[in-house]
Amino acid sequence: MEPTTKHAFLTGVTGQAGPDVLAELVCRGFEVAALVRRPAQISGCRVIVGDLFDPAPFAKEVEESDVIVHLASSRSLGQDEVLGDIAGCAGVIEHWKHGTFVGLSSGSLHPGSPVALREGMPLAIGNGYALGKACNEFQLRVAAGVGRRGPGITLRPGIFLGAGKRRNDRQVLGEIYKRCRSNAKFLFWSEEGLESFGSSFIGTADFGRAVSDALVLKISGAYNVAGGFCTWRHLIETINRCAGTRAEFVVSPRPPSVSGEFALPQCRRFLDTAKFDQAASFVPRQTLEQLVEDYVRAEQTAGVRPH
Amino acid sequence: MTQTARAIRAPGWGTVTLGGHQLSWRMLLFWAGVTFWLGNMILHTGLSGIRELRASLYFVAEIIVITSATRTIGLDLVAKFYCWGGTVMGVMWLVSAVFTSFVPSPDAVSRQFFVPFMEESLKLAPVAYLLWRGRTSRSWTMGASDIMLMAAASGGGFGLVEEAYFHLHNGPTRALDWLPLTRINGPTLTVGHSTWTGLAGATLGLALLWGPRKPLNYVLAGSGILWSIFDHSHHNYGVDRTGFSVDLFNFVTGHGWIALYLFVLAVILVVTSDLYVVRGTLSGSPELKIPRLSGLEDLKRVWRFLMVRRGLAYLMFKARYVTGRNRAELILQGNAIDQSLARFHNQWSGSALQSRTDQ
Repeated sequence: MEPTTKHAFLTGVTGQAGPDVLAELVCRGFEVAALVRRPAQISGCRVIVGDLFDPAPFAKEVEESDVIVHLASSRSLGQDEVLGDIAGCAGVIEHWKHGTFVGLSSGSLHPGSPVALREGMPLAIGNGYALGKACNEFQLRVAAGVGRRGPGITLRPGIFLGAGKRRNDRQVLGEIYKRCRSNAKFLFWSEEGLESFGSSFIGTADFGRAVSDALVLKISGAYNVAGGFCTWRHLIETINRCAGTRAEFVVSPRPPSVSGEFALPQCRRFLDTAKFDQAASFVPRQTLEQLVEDYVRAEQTAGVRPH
Repeated sequence: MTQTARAIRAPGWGTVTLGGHQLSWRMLLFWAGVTFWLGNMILHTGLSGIRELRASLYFVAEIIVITSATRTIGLDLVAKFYCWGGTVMGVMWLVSAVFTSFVPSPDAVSRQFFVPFMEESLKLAPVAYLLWRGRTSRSWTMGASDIMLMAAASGGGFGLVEEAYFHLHNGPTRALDWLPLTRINGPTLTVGHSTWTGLAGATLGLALLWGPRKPLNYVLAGSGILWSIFDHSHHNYGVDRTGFSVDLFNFVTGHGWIALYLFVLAVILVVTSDLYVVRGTLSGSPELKIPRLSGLEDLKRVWRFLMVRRGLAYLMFKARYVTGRNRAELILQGNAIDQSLARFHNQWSGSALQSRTDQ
């Protein structure tokens, strides 16, 4: 008997982590149909041009897919964008008939905390973006397992570190790199903050693997995903080393007042990923140094490329 | 009451100060109507009215029991709608007085059609008002059972005086054992106000549940009240009349029995539809799991949990029928309800832990 090809429906393929997720799905034998807003040439998948707010044209595609990976999301905090994010996710869920649904949420739903953050802890809805993500988690949770649907998996990644085309599109690494290039002074409110504040992170290639690993999960719910944790200090020093920049640190309990000063989030967001790592047998491969090196190389290559 | 609670309860119609207490105009109208309704009944019918109250409440109690697995409204709201039914009876009394000044003859054919139309519309008006008021929030968390129950209660309250007055002057009548408000007169059955309005509420509830904005559902929504007006007109028109038109009315309405069959069918459809939604819409997500009872004192809290959970199921079911921004707003609302259920579970596990520690 011939093995049947599994079909995957993917949104957000042109986003920060989309290309890596697509590559990993293809690598694992999936035939991928990717939804994009504007016509584009994307190798490795069948492109469907459509709008998430009008799911009717691609409804059949979603219904017949064995797995659905929904990465598309609005990065804006505006009310319309947040409602659009929720409605878009609802449109895909509406046509989800069977198989696993993997949705992208955010590690920033967790509040800053000195302790490791587990999935069951109360969330911190600090802005519209987080509210949209919380609503998408909710609608996936409610829809999962109903009828012939499989599990609904929500991944809450740490900050993305990647060297892809969208690496500077409202991403933390791009923002810090830009400040480092201007030899900014990074402000911390305390010595303790300088040593401990930071965030869990994940490389986009690792995230691609994590999404594919998530397809084996049987229990619906939210899962923290990360490749490691870095303090802001460690990240900035790594950029300094790789890019030859000279960013400095200032410890002072005041908001940035002098030009060239910049304050990163004054909190520690360390995601406890044990639940996902054990359930999906996920092992990250990308280190912080390697990710920053890749990013800096991409930036330097782009800088010398003639326009 | 906290500032927030006051702000939430701020009435839209303005307030009036009476004896140092702030009352909303709506509440004032409500209590004036209730006083007029009950006062009028006791004044004119005495003990007969009180006896009728029992039969009327029996009917409402039946619907409460039938919908106990599907409704999201509490008994306080049912009682309020029963009283609102009485209040709109007072309004109908005024409308009738005005109509009589134009058409003095009690046998005028126009009266036999105008009065049922006005009565059926007025009985459903409190329900329609509540649904309109909650059109962006609470109405979405209501099942068809809720709307049917509110309508039946409103009809029950409305019909109370009329039934009491009728029985006082005409003596006891035959009725179906399980529907004491019905009247059987020879081959003809009069189902009564609560059943008429219950039928109107049931079809309205079904239409709102199965696709609030589908064109065909406007027909479904209106079919109950249309049949009620028709059957009610048949009842009024047939009194002391004979001839072809009465025979035709009797034929089409099945001597009034079709209204009863339609009502029974509507109740079955309402309850099964709601059960389908309640059981099939939500997954087994941890915060949606029904907490285990550890004693009778937990019953009230779990019941409250169940009502909120059902409301969430109705909301998420109806959200499928809307698109774009409207759907997103419903999901936002659903997320807030879901979080309240999660908080309930957290408090529940906290108190369970506390009681274990106490032991």
